[in-house]
Amino acid sequence: MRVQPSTLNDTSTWIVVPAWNESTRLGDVLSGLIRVECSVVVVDDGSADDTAEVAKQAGVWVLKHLVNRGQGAALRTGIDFAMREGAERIITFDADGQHRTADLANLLKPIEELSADLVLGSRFLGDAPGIPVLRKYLLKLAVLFTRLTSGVQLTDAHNGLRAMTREAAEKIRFSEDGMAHASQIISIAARERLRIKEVPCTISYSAHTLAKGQSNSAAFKILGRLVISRLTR
Amino acid sequence: MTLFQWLAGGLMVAFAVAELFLQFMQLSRRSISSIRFSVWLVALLSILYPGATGVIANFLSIGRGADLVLYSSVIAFVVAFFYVIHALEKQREQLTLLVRRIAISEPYAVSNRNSLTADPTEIGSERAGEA
Repeated sequence: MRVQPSTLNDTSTWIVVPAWNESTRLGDVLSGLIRVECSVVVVDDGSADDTAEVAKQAGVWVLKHLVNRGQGAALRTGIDFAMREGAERIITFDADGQHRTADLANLLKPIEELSADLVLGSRFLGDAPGIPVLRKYLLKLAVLFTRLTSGVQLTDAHNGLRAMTREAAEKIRFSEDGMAHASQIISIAARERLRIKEVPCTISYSAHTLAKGQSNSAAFKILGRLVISRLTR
Repeated sequence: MTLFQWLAGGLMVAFAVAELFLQFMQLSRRSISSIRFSVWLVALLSILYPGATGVIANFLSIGRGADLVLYSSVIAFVVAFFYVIHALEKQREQLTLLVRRIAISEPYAVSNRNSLTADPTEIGSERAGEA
């Protein structure tokens, strides 16, 4: 079955998938994404496993970082490439199987309606089955931090599911290589006075995704990175 | 002069001379080199005339010359720390930029299975999702 929401049925809509050591899960994610009629680019962020091979077999664009630079760097590489190829709308989508292709149409809707430049998926407006309690509260703290630093009131600040227009992508030139890019994207969007909207989405947590995904201590690393980034600019 | 003054003072003189030599041979940046030369010179004077730091400390209401040296060291350490962090950040950005350039210049599309280094503009006209 092909998923054909209006602007998804358009190769000028690009889905950027940053991936690092995701060979076991990437195949399933891509088999869902290639049903969507748009362009998909996987950025292999210096994986030690067969991530790039899995992506090649799925028949999508593949870019390869020679060394691991972090999710933010991989995203930016994919976005830059998509824009060079003429992307008009860009979606960012995680490679670990936590996102659902069924949410993509909803994600693009505010852009189609010209009511937003940047659309963020929110698990707290939607659903997050299996989310650990500590993770939930850390994410809420991230929301508070984002509100204090950027002035943007969100319900979910660190969700990899996003959509943006080409014009927004041109303005959001984020430089954080690691996970802190999520906060930086929102800060820049607020500074550039872009219209930001949230839409509900589902994030699925399983033992597998929790084992490979970010640890709770990543929150402190992100905070540290943001402090350093502000002090050195 | 005490043994310490001979040893430490000699070391500072050696550093200062090395700095002048590097500047003369144009092997180091003038601004950074001048700052380092000033540090060696001040350290040398403090070693040779320990009473001088006490006079300056009194003037600044710090009390002892040793305290003045300690406070100055802390400030110098903080400045150096930020300088190093800034330099590391710049290197990080440059490395990421390099890795990104290489990645984008060698895209792989399913229609070009055997041409990883194909002309990107040429492959750009095809869409991997449709291949």
